[in-house]
Parts: sequence; structure tokens; C-alpha cells
Amino acid sequence: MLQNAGVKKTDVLVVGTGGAGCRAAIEAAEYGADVTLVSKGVLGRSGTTNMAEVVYAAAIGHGDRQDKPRYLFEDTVVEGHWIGDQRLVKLLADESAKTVYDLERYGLPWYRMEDGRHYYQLPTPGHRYDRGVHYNESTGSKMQDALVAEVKRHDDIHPLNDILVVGLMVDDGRIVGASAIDLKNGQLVLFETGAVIVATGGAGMMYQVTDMEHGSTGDGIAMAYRAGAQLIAPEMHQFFPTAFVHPETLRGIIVTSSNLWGFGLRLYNARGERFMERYFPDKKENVPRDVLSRSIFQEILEGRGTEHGGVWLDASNIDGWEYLRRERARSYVWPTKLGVNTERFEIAPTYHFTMGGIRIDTDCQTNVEGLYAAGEVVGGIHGANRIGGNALPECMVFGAIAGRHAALHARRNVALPQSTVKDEHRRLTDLLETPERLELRPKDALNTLKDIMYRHVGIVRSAQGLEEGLEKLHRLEAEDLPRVGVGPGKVFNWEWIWKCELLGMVEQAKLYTQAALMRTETRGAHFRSDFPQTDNVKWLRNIVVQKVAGEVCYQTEPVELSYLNPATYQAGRE
Amino acid sequence: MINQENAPKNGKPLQVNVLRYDPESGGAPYWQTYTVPRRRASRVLDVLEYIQDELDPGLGYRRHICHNLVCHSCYVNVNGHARMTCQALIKPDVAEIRIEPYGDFVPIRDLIVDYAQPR
Repeated sequence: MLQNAGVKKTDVLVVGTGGAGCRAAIEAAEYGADVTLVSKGVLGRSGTTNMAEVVYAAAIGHGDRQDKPRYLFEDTVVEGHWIGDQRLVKLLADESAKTVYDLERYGLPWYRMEDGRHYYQLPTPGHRYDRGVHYNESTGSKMQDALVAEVKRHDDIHPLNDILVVGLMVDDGRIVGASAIDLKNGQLVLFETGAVIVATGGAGMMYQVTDMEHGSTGDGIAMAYRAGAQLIAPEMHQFFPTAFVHPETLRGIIVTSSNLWGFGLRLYNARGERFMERYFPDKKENVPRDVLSRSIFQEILEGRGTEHGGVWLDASNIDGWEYLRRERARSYVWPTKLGVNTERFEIAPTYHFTMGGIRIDTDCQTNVEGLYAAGEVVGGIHGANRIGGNALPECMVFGAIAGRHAALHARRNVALPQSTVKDEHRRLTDLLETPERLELRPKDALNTLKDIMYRHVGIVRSAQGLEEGLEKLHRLEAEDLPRVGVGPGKVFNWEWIWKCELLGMVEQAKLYTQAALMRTETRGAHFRSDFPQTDNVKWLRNIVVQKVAGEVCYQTEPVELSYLNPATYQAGRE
Repeated sequence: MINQENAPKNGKPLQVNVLRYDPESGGAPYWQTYTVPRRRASRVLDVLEYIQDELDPGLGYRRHICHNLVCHSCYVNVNGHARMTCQALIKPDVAEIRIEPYGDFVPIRDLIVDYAQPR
């Protein structure tokens, strides 16, 4: 039997220590709550926030005096192809300016203009004004450092490392706690709490190629779904065109940014053909990033990819190469440091952002009382496409809202029902202490899943491909999962971790695939080769999925258009 | 510049000595030697990933990491020096390397240390 380390009581439990988790913990502590902040990795070192590179979008008007939050709001709604929840987008746009100053108070030294007073804001595709405040090419890790420093200033935040939360416990429609495994000793830990904030980030690890941190397995989405929470826009996933696929440990890492294609980078397939000439004889590689992603993906899918599942990028003899190396140090010098050839290398589109996720209201609460969510784990804000620079402010804005409301909601008189505890204990013991069923290792099943998702639920989708994907997923679930065993040992047993993550990912994968099949149109990142047009008559709607009495239930809901309507909207600058 | 093309594809395999530690057995740390093909040995991270995926799933090191010099989760001691595994390149003429847990923190298992507990 799994050893039970007992019950920890806390006012607010925050799961995940990236930007949103840390910000939520700070806010909850400032509202007087006793906060437990858990990570399955290490506070400050885990999560994808660290990996964000440059821009943090905020309408503070330093880049351009004309900029106002309402333009940021409009850009986010329009570039999200109209299916973002406008009430949430409005919160994001209105509050992002304040978060810039919050972060500076926590210790993030934003780059400033020469006058020393105004922040230096960079232009970003999709934003009509220059909005990207930044710190060098490491805005994400500076933000994470500043948040961790602030977390450590609070005595009431108790950070716990190496705790894998595996379940949310609900009693009578309310959150009463969560179950977790302490990886340091392999024991079951139970949290008794009336308020849980899920801030576990995206689900990039379901895909073969991703630039996310390798713990981004969408645990929170799966847990919330199992606890009865609604998910929204599960079909929306964003890809970035050019990332390494080889060597293995660099797989997924972004190698150039998309505005550099004009410099003359060339792409070749395994047969040595410059295939973009075939798709776009004039523009060749110099096309928007989603178009480029799809062309590369098509080439790989049709069997003209390289040995490692990519295409060749040739960057030799291009104009401005020295300039790029100097100005884009992180993209160009680091690969050199990492020991890879950056003149000619294998690339493929990489999974970049999970736009779908847990559905929240304007208090960041889900439909389950006491269950809150913030950050990338949330769905419905960015609609069908996220514009650059909106991910980090999302963590700050919604982290703060979730922290405040969770703290106000926290009740000290929750009790974990003994029967729930017993059931969870039994479930985990069965899951992890499987007697020597080692026919299949979790890693093997995981690789199967990644292949299915990248191939069928990736950049180019069609009814045929999605149905094939769904069938493969059902086969994976029915035939492979029961044979997955785990190796011996309790302390930091990676196969335990992978098995827990895998079950959640397969569950999400089915939802994502089914939702992609439902949306019979092309919108933003969701490209259907069999329905290449955007259908504003039928599909100005969001797909919402929920588990009701053990059954998965899909429905569509009209988009909330309280502030802006596509029929009457006209873009403009003042 | 070392890269996957000029690294010897069929060069002599690399000998990797790893300091193992299993808290559940109660025994002392011990050395274990693995042989890793050159094509999977351009960084220390490649080596560890190869060992865990292909040779010994029981080898403990942190896998929820960024692979990209950002997260600072992957510190180990390589030949006695603290290095991030994602940054530690292995020269093609090196025949043998020694990997131990990062010395500044209390080890949990094998190469995994408890970053909350400085030594």
C-alpha cells in the first residue's frame, strides 16, 4: 500500500509555481490567507514562464501615447478571431498596465527609454501600437525571478517542491481538498482546503515537438475536468513554425523568430527540393507564420521529411547574418553554445500555446465551487489565436484575481470525507503499485500519444485525419494503457510520474480531437483542410465540454459579444 | 564548433560513470558505468536521456526541465565541476566522464537533489 503521510490543512492551495501560480499565491497571502504553493518541480525553476523570451504586452502608452487598454482589448479579440470571451479579454486589457508596475515593485528592471522614465516598448505582430515591455531576451525568467522573490517575502506562503498533485476532491459540488504524491519519498499527501487554484500551464507535452518546459502535461486541465469543471475551446492549439527536431534533447526549441524569413532563410525537404517554391513561387519562405507552419507540416506528412521528422533549414550565405547573430543572441548564439550547427539544421513546427482549457468566470472561479484557475491552463481568453506578448500579462492579471477570490472564499471548516480519502488511496495504490506488469513502459505509450496528436490533431486537420486519430486514441486507451506498468522504487520514480501524467493526457487528447472534429470550419490556429473557410454564421460559437455523471458532454455556446461585434467593428488608430 | 555533423558518428563509445544513490535500499552511494554511443553524446543531457530511455529506466535525474539553459533545474557535477547538463558539451576526443549529484544540496536519489535543502 501507498504510505499515507497524512492531511495538511491550508486556506488556499495553489498548484503550479509559474507566473500565474506565484502571482495567485502572493495575492491570496496579501488577503490574509494561509497559502500552500506546490510544484511538481522546484519553485522558480519549473514552469514555462521561465522560457518566455521577449515581449510582455501592456497598453501603458509609453511606446505610443495614443495607446489605450481598449485598443489592446480590440486587438486581442480580433486577432483571436472573435471567439475569446470578451469579459475576460477586457479584464486582461484593462489590468495588464498595472501588472507592469507590480512586477517592477517585485524587482523586474524593465528596459527603459533614454530618458530613464518611460519603458521601452517593442512592436509585436498583431498589436497596432508598440506594447512589448521587456527585459533583454529573458523577460520570462526575469518575471519568474521577481515573483519568486516576492513569494519569499511572505511568511504565509508555504512553497513545497516535488509534489505531484494527482486529484481534486469534491464533496457535494464543492472543493474539499486535493491528493498528491510527495516525489521525495513516494508517500500520499492530502490537502484539506476549501479553495484550490489550478495554475499548471499548458499541455505541450502531448505533442511530439514542443517548446514548453517538459513538465507541461496539462495536469490541471485533466484534474479539473475529472472534478466536473467545464473546459472551453479545447480544439485551439497554437504552433510556431521553426524549431529544432534534432538532436533529440533540443527537440522543440525555437530556433528563429518568424520575422526573419525575409532575410533569405531557405527550406529544403529530404529530396533536396526547395518546396516552398512549389507552394508560393513568388514569396517562397517569406509567408506568415501559420502558412509556413502548414506548408512545412504538409511536406513532412506527405513523406518528404527528414530522418528525424523535419525539413532542412539552410541559413548559410544569407545577408545580415552577422547582424542576426549580434541582435538576436538568444536564438543564434545559444544554439552554437549548445553544440549544433546553425547553418543547416532540421526543423519542424513546434507546439507553442494551449488556447483551450478550463472555463472561468470573471472571478477566475470554475463551475465547481472553490475551484479557481489562472494562466495558460484557462481557456477562452485568446480565442482561436494568441497574439505575442499576451501570455505573461495573462498570468499576472488572472493570477491576482484568482488569488483574491480564493482567499475570500477560503473556509476553515472544510472536512475531507473519510470515504473520499479511502477511495483516492485505493485508486493511487492500484495505479502505481502494479505488480510487475511491465509489458509496456509509460514512455512508450507516451510516444504513441505524441505521434497521434502531432500527426492528426496538429496543424492541418481534416475529418478523415481526426477520425483516424480518435480511433488510434481509443485503441491506445483500451489496449495499451492497461498494459502500462511501472518500475520498482518509490522515491522519484519517473514511471509513476509519467503514468499519472499519461492518463490525464490521453483523457484530454480525446476531448481535443473530438472538439476539433466538431468545428467544421477554419478559424485561427484551427485549420481544417476540408473546411478551409471561416464560417461566422454557424461558428461564432465556443465548444464547451464537461463530464456529467461520468459521461462526456459536448455543447456549443454563442460567443459573448458584449463589447465588440464583428458585424459592426472597424479597426482604427487615433 | 562541435555539431551533430562533425561529431564522430562511429567514434569510440563514451564511458559514463554515474554516482548512484538509492535511499530505499539504505546503502551507500556507488559508481555505475554506462557505455553511450557517440552520436547520443554531444551534451551531458543527451547522455543522461539516452541512459534513462535505453539502458536503465531507474536512473534518477530531473526530466521536467527546459533543455535550453533557462530553468537551472539540471545542475550536476561533471568531472567535479558544477554544470547544467543542457549546457555541458562533451568534446569528441573525451573517452570518459564522471557525473555526480550537484554538491550544494542534499541528494534525494541518484542525481536528483533537494533544492529546498542546501548542504
